[in-house]
This record gives sequence, structure tokens and C-alpha cells, in this order.
Amino acid sequence: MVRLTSTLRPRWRYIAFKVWSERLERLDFDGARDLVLRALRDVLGPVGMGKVRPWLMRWDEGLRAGILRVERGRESRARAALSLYRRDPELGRVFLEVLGTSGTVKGAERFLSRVPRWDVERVGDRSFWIYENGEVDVVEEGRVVAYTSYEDPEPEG
Amino acid sequence: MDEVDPLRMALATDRLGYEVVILTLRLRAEDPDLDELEWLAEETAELRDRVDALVLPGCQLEAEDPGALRRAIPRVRPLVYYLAVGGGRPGINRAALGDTRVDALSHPERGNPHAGLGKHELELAREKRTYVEIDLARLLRRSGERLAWQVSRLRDLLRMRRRKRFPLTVALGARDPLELLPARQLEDVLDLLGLSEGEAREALVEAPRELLRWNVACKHVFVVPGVAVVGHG
Repeated sequence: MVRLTSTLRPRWRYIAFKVWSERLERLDFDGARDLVLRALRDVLGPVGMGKVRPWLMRWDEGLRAGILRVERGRESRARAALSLYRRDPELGRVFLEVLGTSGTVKGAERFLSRVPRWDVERVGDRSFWIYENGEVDVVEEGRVVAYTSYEDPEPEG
Repeated sequence: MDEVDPLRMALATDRLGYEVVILTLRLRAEDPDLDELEWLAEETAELRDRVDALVLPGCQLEAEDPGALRRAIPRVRPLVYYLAVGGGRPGINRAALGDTRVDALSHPERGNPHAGLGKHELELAREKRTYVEIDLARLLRRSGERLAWQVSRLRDLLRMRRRKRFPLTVALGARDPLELLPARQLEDVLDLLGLSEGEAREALVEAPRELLRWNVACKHVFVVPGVAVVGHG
């Protein structure tokens, strides 16, 4: 393979993103890649997607967050396309939150550390996904059925 | 937001970096449920200790008859910081734009094959300083061909705005946290729709600030239980 000189090599930007969805099915690397490509193709069309030149670099299954590589100068279009993609055939209603954009993979990885952490508590058939800032998702049969919040009980006395 | 608890929406918007959030209730102008609105005002007042963002109550009136809309506006106005009217029908569009107590006319293009505003409506919007609101939820809930049609109507609105300079603002219209967007992503969407950086900033930052400043400073007095009186006419 011909190695390109630094001036001929394409320039990239790295978008860190997180997937929020109505259905909380397991999303592995291939699933995430297909989701991102569907989003870009759905909004920008095949030609627009080709111009963006997307490539999924990293995917953290636990966080449901990853890093997408796109061509420099087209990152705004890619982010807008991710924002406009709201209904997925596999995950139901989705929200692809852009955590940040960087010129390096290392820079983009820093954004992944800002994803809010959560705990899962199960009560009967229901599970409660409790986020660190007080947000709570109520999940039944792998699907979010209510969005609510958690208030710290007031200290007694 | 009707099906989601207000604190959850406030927490989600706070996490996404918004400074000011207006939680709106959608009410029918023929029979507005003012108890619901007072409940929202009290809830938003309690949220101030929980979130950094300033959370304020608002209302969107949906009307079928301009007469009912005119009767509902004075009842609802003192309870909210932001009053929008859901447009679409020519009579409703005109009645909303011609009333200085209405802050914004939302989705005037609904049901129309164009932006839904004629020469007379544009003059009214400029004269009465009533904002025309782009409801992004109508865009975000669509895909494929329907999304393309919605974009074409918004482009129509933008073309008119560039010629006639009427006040324009953008609302997310999210009903639950999955429909929210961080401000940065919102700018990217507006860029994709064809708004320049200056136009996007005007619609996203300056217009809402101006609206709230105007309402607080000289237009209305807020005496809802739980909401501080922040200005006098």
C-alpha cells in the first residue's frame, strides 16, 4: 500500500457521542456502527454520507458511547445528522447526544469520561436506572416506560 | 412534557447546558385548565433549589376559533413567563400575531403548503413584535419525505425573514428527555437548515433573552403563588 505524505493524507475530526434510546437492547460495535451509518444515510442521503466519510473508531458497550471519525470541515453536518435522527427501526426512539468534537482520538476519549454514571435497581419486573444527577428511567421489558427523577429524602430531626 | 415530571425535564436540560428553560403546558384555548398552569408555576418555583438553570413556566394555547383565543389570552397571560399560540389556520395566525400579549406564534406553517404567513401577517409580526417560533419538535419527529417537506417549509419561512426581518425564535418543543438536544447540536441543525451563524444566534440566544427581559420589565406582572414578582408595568 502506498503511504501518503502528511500533506496528502486526509484530515479527520473525532466526534464523541452517546446513544440514548427507548429500547435498551444490547448494542455491540457492529450494532453501533450500523446505527450511526443509518442515521447519516437517513438524513444526508448516500452522497452526503459519502462526503462525510464516517468511520466508527471506538465503542464502549457499557457506556453506550463511542467515537466517530469524520472528514474535517464536515463535522457540523455529521453532528446535525446525528441530531435529526430520532426513530430507529431497532432501538425505537433514539437521541444521539454529541458529547464533543476533537482533532485527536485522545481528545475525544476525554469526552467519554463525562458520560453520567448510573446504577440499576430491580423491583419485581421493573428496573430503575438511577443517574448520578437525580434522573431516573423506569424500564419494563427492556423499554423505558417513564422518565422521572429522584429526590434525596430530607434528613430526619 | 405533559407525561414527564417537570423536575426530570429540568435536570435533563441542566445536564445539557441550558441557562434558562421554559416548561410549557399545551392548553386548549376553548377551555384552558388554569389549575394545571398554577400547579406548573408552583412546581417550577420549587425547582430553583434543585437545578442551576433558571426554570420558568410557560403555556402554548391551541385554538380553533380566534374568538376563543382572544378570550383565553387575558386569563392565561398573568400566570406565565412565555405565552405561545399554536398556529396553522389563517385566522389563528392573524389573531396571535396581532395581540401584543402573545409572545410567539408557533408553527404557522402547520397544514399549509408554505410558511403560512402572508404580507399582512408579516407586517403584524413586525409591528406588534410578536415572534414567529420555529418548533423543532415538528422536524425531529419526522423522517424521510415528511422531514423533507418540513424542511422546505422552514426554508420558505427563512426566505421571508431575510426579506421582511420579522422577529424569529426557535423552540425545542421536547415532550421528554429523548427529544432534547444540547445547544451546540441545535446550532448544527440550524446550520444544516440554512441559517447563518448570526441568524442562529439571534434566534437561539438574543430573541429568548429579549422576550423574557421585555416580559419582566414592562409588559406583565407575575403574581402566581410560588413565583416571585420580578417586575412591574
